[in-house]
Amino acid sequence: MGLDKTFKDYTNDFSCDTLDQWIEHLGTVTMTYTGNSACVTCGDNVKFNWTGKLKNGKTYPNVLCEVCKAQ
Amino acid sequence: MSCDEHISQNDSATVESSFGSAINDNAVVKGFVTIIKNEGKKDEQIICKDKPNLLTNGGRDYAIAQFYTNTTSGGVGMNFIALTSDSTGADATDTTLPSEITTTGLERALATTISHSTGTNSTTLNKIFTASGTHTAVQMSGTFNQLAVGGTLAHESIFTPVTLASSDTLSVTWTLTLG
Repeated sequence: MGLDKTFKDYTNDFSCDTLDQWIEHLGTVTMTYTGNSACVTCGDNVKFNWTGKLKNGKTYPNVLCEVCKAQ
Repeated sequence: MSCDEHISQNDSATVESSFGSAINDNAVVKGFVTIIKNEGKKDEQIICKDKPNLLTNGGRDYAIAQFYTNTTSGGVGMNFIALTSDSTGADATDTTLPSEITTTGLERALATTISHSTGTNSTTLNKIFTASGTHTAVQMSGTFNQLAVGGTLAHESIFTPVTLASSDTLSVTWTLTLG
């Protein structure tokens, strides 16, 4: 049986219908997230390629720019 | 229309509605909108959480062009977020966001966060708007493929009307699934 719900994780053969369930799932599996976002400290735009378990209750990682990371 | 209403959908592109709405979604691309006023501040207010949105007919056509019919290079993603105080509601036939806000901090903007996790069907767009004037009863958001007013409206969603004073923030998050 295929994945038949709204949110689908093909890598881990998981699907669910609610965002809350999806966010919970993202906290349990290691995934790679790509995109861009604002640095949580200074707000500068940061391109990211982040791998890990997402524990921040969001669907994307909080990122730091290189300058803030170095401080 | 409140945030509690729920539209159930399945992958065969049939849309069912638990409240008998005539919303004409285009189901394989689905999405949820979360709107938070003054996120992280003492007076944080969740305006709308995970509310299903609709994909417009124009948005569907744009996606099809990107996937199947374009014979030249593709277009920009639907990652510009717009807002309006218009109360006429979302409709799949809309091609513009009626009375789109174009001033004082709530004008259309590129999503600050654009994120996709490899191996999933989920993408997140987020923009935190900061009002630089008063906005009364902001209640609908849409996504477009360009910064300037115009372009193709892809997704639309209404939410509980919210009024913003200068320096209030409005976090708009679109969580979109494809396939």
